[in-house]
Amino acid sequence: MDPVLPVPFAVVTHAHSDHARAGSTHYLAHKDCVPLLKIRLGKGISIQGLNYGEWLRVGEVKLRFLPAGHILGSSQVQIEANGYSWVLSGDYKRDSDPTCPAFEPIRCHVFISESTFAMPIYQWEDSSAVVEDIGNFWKENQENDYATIIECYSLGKCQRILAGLNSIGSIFLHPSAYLLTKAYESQGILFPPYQNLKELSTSARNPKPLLMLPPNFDFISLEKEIGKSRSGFASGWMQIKKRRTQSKNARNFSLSDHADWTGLNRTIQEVSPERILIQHGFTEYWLRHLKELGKDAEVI
Amino acid sequence: MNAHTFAKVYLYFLEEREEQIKLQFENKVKAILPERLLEKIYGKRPRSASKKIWKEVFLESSSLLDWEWDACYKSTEDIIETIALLCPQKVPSLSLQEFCEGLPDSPRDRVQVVNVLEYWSQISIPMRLFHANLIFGKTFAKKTKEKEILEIPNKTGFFYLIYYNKRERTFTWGAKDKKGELVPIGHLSSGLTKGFLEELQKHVRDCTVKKFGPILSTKPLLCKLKWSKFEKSRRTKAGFRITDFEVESLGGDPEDSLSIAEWVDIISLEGRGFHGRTKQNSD
Repeated sequence: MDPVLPVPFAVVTHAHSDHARAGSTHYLAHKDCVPLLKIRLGKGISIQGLNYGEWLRVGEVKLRFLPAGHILGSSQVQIEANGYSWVLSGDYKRDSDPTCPAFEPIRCHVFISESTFAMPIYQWEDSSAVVEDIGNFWKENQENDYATIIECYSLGKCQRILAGLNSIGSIFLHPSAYLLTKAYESQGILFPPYQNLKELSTSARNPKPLLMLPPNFDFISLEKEIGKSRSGFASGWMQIKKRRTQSKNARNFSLSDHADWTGLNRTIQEVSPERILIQHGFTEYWLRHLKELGKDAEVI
Repeated sequence: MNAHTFAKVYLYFLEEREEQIKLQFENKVKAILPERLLEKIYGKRPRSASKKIWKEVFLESSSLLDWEWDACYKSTEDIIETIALLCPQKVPSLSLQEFCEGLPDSPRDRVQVVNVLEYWSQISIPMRLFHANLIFGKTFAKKTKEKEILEIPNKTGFFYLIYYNKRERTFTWGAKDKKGELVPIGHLSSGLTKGFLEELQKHVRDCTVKKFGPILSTKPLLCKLKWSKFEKSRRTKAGFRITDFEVESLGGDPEDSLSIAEWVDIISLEGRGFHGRTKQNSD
């Protein structure tokens, strides 16, 4: 599952590049994830899509996907054999997201969880309020004759913000985000009107547009088309002042597609596994916390 | 720790919590801390309360373990932020940020809002001392440190561009110290036009790739800067920095660039003793 190196049969939890890698012979993913994987890994890949809850027998085990609430098509993978059940969470979050179904906890024997933000200082504000704040930032910039640039990841974060925005001007997406958003739309997710960054011209200056670009994009080169601009960055890491002060953006928004401290611990309570395996993030910290609660946990 | 921020968080903690939690917190504070330290928190300048004390107080109030606090503090590197992120869970009406923003800037205004006498009769003696400090404003009297600046209008000199971040458009210039290492003395983060950036890029290309073909190593770029202020600074290795400067020309002869020691000599000569109070060149 989510193999790092090419394998004959890869089960992919979602289409982010640290989970979906090219080169495997055959892929299995949730059906909503299929178009995203084709964009990311190439149209020619051999891939099979499953619905949530639909069992598939693979050798001596059977597996199914369950919603993980991370991005569109993101899944937990439940594997059962001889009445023993394992769940690989993949990346997940417990907050609401208009672009994907919510995380579904399922009781199991072994739960493999991510721990990206497994520290008590990471507790998210209501995401709809953060998106509203981004909308207000755009409005405020328009009033002061600035274009707005929001730096965010092209897959997941971009669509989550876009779905919650009220259109008060043109919205331009980076070509990679544009393609992925089109794939979201093909799955029935609704967005306000948006355009490809390739269509950006000086005519887009009034009213001042909103540009959604990947982090580290050199937006100085767009000065000619959009005039003066102010930028913001949306990421869970912006929860910490230290990170915010490192950033050169005018505003930073704490918005994450991962579960926060409360979400992670709530999930463990709801899933109540006999054994917890932790990966990806503040693993050592969470491991110690879980062990002090008397849980059987281990870092993998 | 900033005293005003501290007070905001503290007041938030006391006022926005449920009565039971508020009482529990106060009792815990009293139970943990000896009277002498309580005075330190309530009665005197809040900034004199050490990180250790606040760690103990908030460990108690948040039910966190010692090592958990340490890990969180290590992440934030800011005690107030750690307290703000860990302890006040969201209250139904306001978030901590909203509460802090809603507070008037002057602590005196804050006191005028509440019914002072009624409030006064309810609070403990240490709290009265704490509020007395707020009312008279002694707690928040800021000592403004006079900057040591030497003004020499239109001074020019050659410096090396030692760091350039293209995306953030930040430039750091430096000069050589005794060991011949480059030491930063000036930092520009804005005010550079796209035209200048293009000119800089062209100059670098002309001096490297176009001249020598593919390059394996680079040397720091020498530039002529024009500025008008020297400022004593603890944040630079050189002990001073130049401010209000602009790039006059790109390139130059390395022999023209002066070392840090030579610049210090010039400063002390022109400023007639830079070490001291603010001095201005009479010229």
